[in-house]
Amino acid sequence: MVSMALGPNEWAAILLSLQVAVVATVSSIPIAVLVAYALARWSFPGKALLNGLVHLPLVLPPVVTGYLLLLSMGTQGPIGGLLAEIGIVFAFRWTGAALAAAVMAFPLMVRAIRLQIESIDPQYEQAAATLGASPRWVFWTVSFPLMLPGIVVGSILAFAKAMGEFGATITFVSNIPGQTQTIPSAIYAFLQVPGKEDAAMALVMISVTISMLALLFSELIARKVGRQQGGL
Amino acid sequence: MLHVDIEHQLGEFSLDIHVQFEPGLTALFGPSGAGKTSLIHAVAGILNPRVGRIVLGERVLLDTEKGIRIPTHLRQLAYIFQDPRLFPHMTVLENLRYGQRFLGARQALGSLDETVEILGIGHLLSRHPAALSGGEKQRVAIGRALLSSPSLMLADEPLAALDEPRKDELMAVFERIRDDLKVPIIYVSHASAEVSRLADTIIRMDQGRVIARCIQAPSVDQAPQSSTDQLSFPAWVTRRHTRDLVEVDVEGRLLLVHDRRARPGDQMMLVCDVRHVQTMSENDLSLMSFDHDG
Repeated sequence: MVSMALGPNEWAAILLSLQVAVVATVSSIPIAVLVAYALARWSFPGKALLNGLVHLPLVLPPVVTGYLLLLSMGTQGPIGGLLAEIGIVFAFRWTGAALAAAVMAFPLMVRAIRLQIESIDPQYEQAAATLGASPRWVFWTVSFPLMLPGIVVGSILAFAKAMGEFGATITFVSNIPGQTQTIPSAIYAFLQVPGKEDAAMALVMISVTISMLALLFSELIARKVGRQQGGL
Repeated sequence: MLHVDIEHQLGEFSLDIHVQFEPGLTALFGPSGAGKTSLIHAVAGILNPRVGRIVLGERVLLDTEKGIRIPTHLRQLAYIFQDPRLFPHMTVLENLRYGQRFLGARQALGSLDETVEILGIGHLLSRHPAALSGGEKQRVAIGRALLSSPSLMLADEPLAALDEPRKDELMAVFERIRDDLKVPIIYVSHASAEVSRLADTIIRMDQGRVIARCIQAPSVDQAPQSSTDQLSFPAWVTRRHTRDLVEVDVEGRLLLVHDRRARPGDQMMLVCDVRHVQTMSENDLSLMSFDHDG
């Protein structure tokens, strides 16, 4: 019944949403780990500024974030212009949707990872150093594995946020079916047209299902990691 | 074996330590805040003294004048913390093996099997640290430290969190490390039972300084004793070392003793209580409750 209500554009929106959310999440992880580690462990000039910048998308209206992205990353923008010269274009492309989703989800991911890092007792790292591990080894054999639960939780949150991102996405890359139309913008578009409620409802159900699966999956991983580490 | 000359300021607290450690087990003894942990942190490279020089055997670990500071992971030390600090995401076996990959060309101190046998942890190897008792965890931590083939072991109140039977078992382990594996050990403790049983040398610290160094005679049985944890030796003052310290001769060994009154040539009775290392001049001898005709 659901599949009957879905045309090629709707399927495209679902696949695009998944693609955008996966790309946004996966490419954010290394940067989020670095930023979270820096915020949790290092002291450096401009730390408060970095913290503010990371959290800005959380407090700004999404439309404002989208507009700022358009200004800076659009083909006429200072960064987007440079990138366009080497063939990387974000504005009105699916890559732009992924960028918008990544920016909006970034604070959630950083927060989860940072909390996890702060809960790691630095004494484990100290012990590893006394056993002969260089700082790099300490990071990869002790710090990183102990950060993993936070990275998993942060990634799931970011994925969910990226799936649902609407305001920044529609402002930055518009709502072009088959190109930049994600599930939320498709639902929005259907609700503007009389008689399309069925199609909107089908997408709503798909959206709920994907989100539920993501949550169950994260619960499963968190439990597995938790059991291995003895309820760290 | 280990030379430490360091000066450091930690807020109000100043550290000014000039001491030499001999092989065997040296107990660092003194009230809280005496600087015992700061001293072994400096040896481990966890604390970086403002000025100083630390030499372990032939290796210079720290020389602030020459700008040498070997990082912790290259110092080849084992550090036994009060809290075992086992890596929670690894099994006991993985914890034990952790230091082995960093040995490089160095010879392992003992095989995994021998170490597991000495510590009696064979039945724990596949468990995670969360499933171990406090005593078991500390055994694994000691094994993990030994398998990193340290040239010196630092132990900071390693038994403080354990109950009496566990303490007793682990003291036997430290005795084997001291006597069979011959790893020098610097051992911080408040407990007189541990110090009197394990220590070859007792270094007493107070307010960031070493105030006395006492060698527990190997001939403990022959030394006159007033109680089980008090040893006394006749000693002669050879020279004044600083305003607070005199050098005394005890059975042919030279010791530094905290005393401001004694003059060279004086005879003293050196009373080594594992809670208090103190000196008494001849005049004070009458205060002592036991006879000594030395």
